[in-house]
Amino acid sequence: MFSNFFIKGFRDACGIPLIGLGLSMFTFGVYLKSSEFNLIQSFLSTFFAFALPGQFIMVESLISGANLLNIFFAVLFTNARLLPMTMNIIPTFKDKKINKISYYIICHFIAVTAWVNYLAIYKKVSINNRYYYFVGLSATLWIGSVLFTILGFLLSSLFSHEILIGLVFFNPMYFLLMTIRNLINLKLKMVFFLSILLTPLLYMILNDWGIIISGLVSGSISYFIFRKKKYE
Amino acid sequence: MNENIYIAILLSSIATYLCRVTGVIFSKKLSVDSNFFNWIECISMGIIISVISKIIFFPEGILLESTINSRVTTILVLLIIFFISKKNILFSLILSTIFFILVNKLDTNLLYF
Repeated sequence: MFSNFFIKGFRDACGIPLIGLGLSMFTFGVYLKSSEFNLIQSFLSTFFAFALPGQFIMVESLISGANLLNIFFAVLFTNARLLPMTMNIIPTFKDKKINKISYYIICHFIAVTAWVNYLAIYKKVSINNRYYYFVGLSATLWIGSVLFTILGFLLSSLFSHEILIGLVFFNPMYFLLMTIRNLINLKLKMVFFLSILLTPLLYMILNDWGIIISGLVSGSISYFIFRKKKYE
Repeated sequence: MNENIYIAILLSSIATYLCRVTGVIFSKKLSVDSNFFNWIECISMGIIISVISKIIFFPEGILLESTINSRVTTILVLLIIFFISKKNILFSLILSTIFFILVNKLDTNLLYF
């Protein structure tokens, strides 16, 4: 039954993935409060513009007095990574039985946490059930993010600054471990090491473009080297 | 400022959705068995690692108040615990987060000393 896989996705989200993402969203809520956003604005931010780096850029740009057009393009470039991630996820569960319009709805849930967790498991789920699994997993993470943002906004005074800094670092550490777990072949291991080396260099030269270009270059080099080799 | 916040949220939502919806449109005829899909898989992985690397070396927001030493040392400790504990993610994360809070406090105090 598809609903079983929706529930399985929900259950898989309700552990470390939701804790990791939730802690980051919690501190984002604290940040919104200190940036003079109100509760409704905090809610709307995560509900509609769900992708943390872009949300941070939006707030920072607003505070620094950037105009609205600059904010649009800053968020667009910061979130450009979502394009290949979506292209990496949607084809894995394409099914003629699924209404095509639903892809345009569920793509809103695609973000790094859902992506790393889904990639770690999707090959073990039959094609017919992957869609339901992904919706269960990613929608839970999205709803959880909205709730944690609100909690952060409301409970901002309860945590010391040092603890908040520590909690924010939980999520990148979690991304790192999940990514390492997904390095199942030499090709992906090469992507990992090339990207780790290239990113600091390219970021110093090109700022945010350095992130996209580093991923593009390291991914392309590894792909072309291992294209015809058996590496598994 | 207040009205601008609502417009900024609207524009950010459109920009974010645009990135995702373009991915849906481009993936319409994409097959998981194609070379192009494999290439996209490599690029996605590369970009995610870039994002993680950027957060560690050039963070934004509240993490700017931590030192590079504390972040890099914590990542090394995280990896050591992860492999020693036979890839136990929760255990590695909890210990490393505690380590990060302590070492960051110590490091910041030393800077001001």
